[in-house]
Amino acid sequence: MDKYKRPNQQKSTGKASLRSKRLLQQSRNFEKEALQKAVAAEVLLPENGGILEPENELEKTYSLSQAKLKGLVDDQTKRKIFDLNLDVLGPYKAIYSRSSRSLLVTGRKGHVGLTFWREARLQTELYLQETIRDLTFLHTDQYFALAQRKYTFIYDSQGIELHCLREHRYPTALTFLPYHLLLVSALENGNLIYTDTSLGTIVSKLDTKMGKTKVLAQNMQNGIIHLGHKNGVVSFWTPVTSNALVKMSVHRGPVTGIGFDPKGQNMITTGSDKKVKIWDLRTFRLKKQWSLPCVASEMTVSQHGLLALAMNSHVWIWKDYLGETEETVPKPYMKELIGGNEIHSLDFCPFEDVLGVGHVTGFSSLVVPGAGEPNFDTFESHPYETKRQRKEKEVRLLLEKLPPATITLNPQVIGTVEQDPQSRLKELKELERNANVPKQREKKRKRGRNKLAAKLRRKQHNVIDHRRLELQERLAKEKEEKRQSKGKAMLNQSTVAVPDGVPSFLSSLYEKKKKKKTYLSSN
Amino acid sequence: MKVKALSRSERDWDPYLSGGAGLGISRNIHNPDPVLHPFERAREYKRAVNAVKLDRIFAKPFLYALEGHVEGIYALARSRSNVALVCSGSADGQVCLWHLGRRGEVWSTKAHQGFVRGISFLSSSSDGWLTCGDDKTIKYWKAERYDGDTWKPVSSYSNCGVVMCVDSHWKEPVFASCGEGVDIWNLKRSNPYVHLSWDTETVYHVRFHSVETNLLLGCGSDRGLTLFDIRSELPVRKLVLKMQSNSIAWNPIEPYLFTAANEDSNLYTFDLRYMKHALKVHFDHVSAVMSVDYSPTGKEFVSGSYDRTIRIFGSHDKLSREVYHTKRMQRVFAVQYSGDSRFIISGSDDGIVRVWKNEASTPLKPLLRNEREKLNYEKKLKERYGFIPDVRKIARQRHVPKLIYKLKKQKAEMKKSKERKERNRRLHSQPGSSSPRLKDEAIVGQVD
Repeated sequence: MDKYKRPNQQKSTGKASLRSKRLLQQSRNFEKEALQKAVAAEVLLPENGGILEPENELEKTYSLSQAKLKGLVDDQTKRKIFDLNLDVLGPYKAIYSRSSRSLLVTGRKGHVGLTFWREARLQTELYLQETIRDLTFLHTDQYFALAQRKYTFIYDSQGIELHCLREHRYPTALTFLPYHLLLVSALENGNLIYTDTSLGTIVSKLDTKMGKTKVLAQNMQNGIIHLGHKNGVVSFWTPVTSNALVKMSVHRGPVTGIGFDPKGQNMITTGSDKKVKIWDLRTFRLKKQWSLPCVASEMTVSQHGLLALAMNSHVWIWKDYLGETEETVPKPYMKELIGGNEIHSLDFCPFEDVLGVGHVTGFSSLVVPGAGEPNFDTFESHPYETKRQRKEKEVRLLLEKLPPATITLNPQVIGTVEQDPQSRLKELKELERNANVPKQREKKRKRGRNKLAAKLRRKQHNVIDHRRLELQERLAKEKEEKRQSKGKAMLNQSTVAVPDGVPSFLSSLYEKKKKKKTYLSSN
Repeated sequence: MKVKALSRSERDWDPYLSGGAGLGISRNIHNPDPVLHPFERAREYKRAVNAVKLDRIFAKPFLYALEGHVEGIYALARSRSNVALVCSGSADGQVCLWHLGRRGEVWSTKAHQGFVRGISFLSSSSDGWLTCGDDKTIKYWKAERYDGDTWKPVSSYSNCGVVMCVDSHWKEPVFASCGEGVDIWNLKRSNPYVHLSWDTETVYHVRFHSVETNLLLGCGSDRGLTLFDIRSELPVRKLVLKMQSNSIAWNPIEPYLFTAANEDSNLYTFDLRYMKHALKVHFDHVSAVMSVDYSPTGKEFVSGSYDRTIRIFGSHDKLSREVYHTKRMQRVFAVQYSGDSRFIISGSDDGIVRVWKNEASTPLKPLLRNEREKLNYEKKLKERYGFIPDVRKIARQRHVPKLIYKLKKQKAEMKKSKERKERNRRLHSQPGSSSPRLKDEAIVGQVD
């Protein structure tokens, strides 16, 4: 049920006309109904996700290699475990299209291959004789862009060079925003450039002022581009602001990879400090971190949130890495060694339990059960779409092209009531302050004060528990009783001393007198 | 080890194999998981913008003109039993019966000497219609009696003075005519059996209530709206406005509401139970409103004005949702909704009956399921995002003749200044003293 809940933006101020109150109630009811319907409609979904579970405690999922896995799965899945040996023009990078139908493999020295990987059918092959640094599909499988030595080029599925983007000089990394139809290139001089692929115009050119980087990732849920820099900083970019929205210092040493969980709420980073860190993007605070045996050079996250890291020629995959506590080191879900080849790209295939690995001598396809979303939405991306459906979708995509201004930290804000700008600013500042508060650590005291018993005692000093409260109560009671008995005694004494009929405020006189008397008598 | 990996059969998705039942129908499934639909708000908003734009592009409200009258049309009525029949009467006494489906004249005759002032269809299906004119007669017609040369009325009632309007009872064979007071007639008698009047006013327009069938509302020359009850044979209540009302209409679904088309270019909706204030003042016309008629759904009404435009208002909306005009259409004296609420019929001074669509952009053809679903979805989107300024601006934008545009601006300016003045007056008057709200300004008095 929680899966379908949208964050509630509107806070009612309590002052509303009867009519608008009724409307609000109505819309709330609709929302509830829609939620129930969405849950009820789950039975209509045709597929269930992949599973990999040990049957006893001795079995470990991470000890299952692809060779062993091949013996356990059906024929169709067996065919998804394969290697392409391309040992001349490497190292290779590979990505899957959003519909999962096509696979684009590029070698650094200019080899390009576009295939329908399910049918193992080559669509086009090119030898560009130029360095290829990065690659991305555009809005359909029909077009792709390559970051070549000097410029970014766009090709179609026939292998025809359609455009040369001369503004993108010496591109290092590419990505594509599918709903905004924006091609984003990070350039060698540290610039970030957004090109509208439907109009061919440059939407914005941003100077990051943080030097060259090839670590570029987009958060699919809000379209924000994240750049990982050499000084361990991740900066957040949108085409409409000239400065970074956020800069987060995430690692000691260069950032090597950025990824996002499927909901886009957590950012996962790896750095040269051999660490994986998970950051909550709502509060910008560290959620979890653990160390790796060596630096992770590549990273990708699957549709179901599986995290794959490449360390030299090893691929490690984690499943439930957001454990209970911050400290626990999660066990990998799967491990695989790609025969002594350094890995240069990782990409999970959407809607499939497949991980594509590009390495020095070609491409390997691994099966990772439970990685992909089993039920695709045919109106969103469709692995088996017909030509007609594809054409229709393309038209719709163009009609519904979003303006660049819709890329914001919170895309749910559209269609809500505008907040008072001052209070919004205040909220943002609060968020910033909270994010920047250093973590409270226990101070190291001097010698002698650090003994365990003393420390515990000190810790207990101000703790108020029920035992302590009871003790306090009892003490207070005793004190009160004591006071009262004393008072009574005094009163008894004074009644002896003061004769009847004398007002009480004069009693002190009599006491004195009495004292005098005693004094006299003693003499 | 328990292992299962995703493995789909491609045959399930082939439109010419099992996926499309072999018929070439592509299979579709929807997964509402929000993770698969990024930017859902933004995309929905974009769709809403597209929808209102398409709405404007496809807005072709004018359907056809019915030609046959020589003079301006002053009376219009729709049949109470047949959706397609509409009757119109012009200034030269000509009365025409139109068939909307055939887009043509079914019957016509010269019914009166001088203006035809009012037309009303009788309620029962076999019965005909009544017309009244400046020749001080009321005629009862059926499209049956033809004596080779001319059509003859079933009966003719001439024992009345000047007749300005006629309206028939919703249940019984009774009708009301107005002029010097209101006369209630039985169809079978030649004299009115009740005469109702309040002072010596001339009543211009009269309408029977469709639910409380014995109630009758009239508007007259003394700027009053008078409620009559034909059972007690007495006027019940009177409301006096600042200016004269030209036409009135009862809301058929919320039967306690009625709307008066006023000479001051506004329309006023009143609640029968609480007539102290107008429930709503409908602005937007720039000249006297001549005619008003409710949609059978009760959600909207249409008004025709002396400023040569027709406007459609939501029954609870201050401003109109639609304005219709053409270059050739003159002063509009009569408007009617069609019985299925899909069309609007207007009669104007240029002697032409025009037929318009109620929803300017919806297609008239029978829709496929996909088309219907898309239209419904777009309607919902427009509703949902209609309050966003960009969407609202596109949705509300209408081109009107320059004169009307200017006058409208002027009227808005006047209203603004009035409001300002009122606000200032309120600010600087003693606490506790009250000045009338603009809404109530038009109401002068009330008599029980």
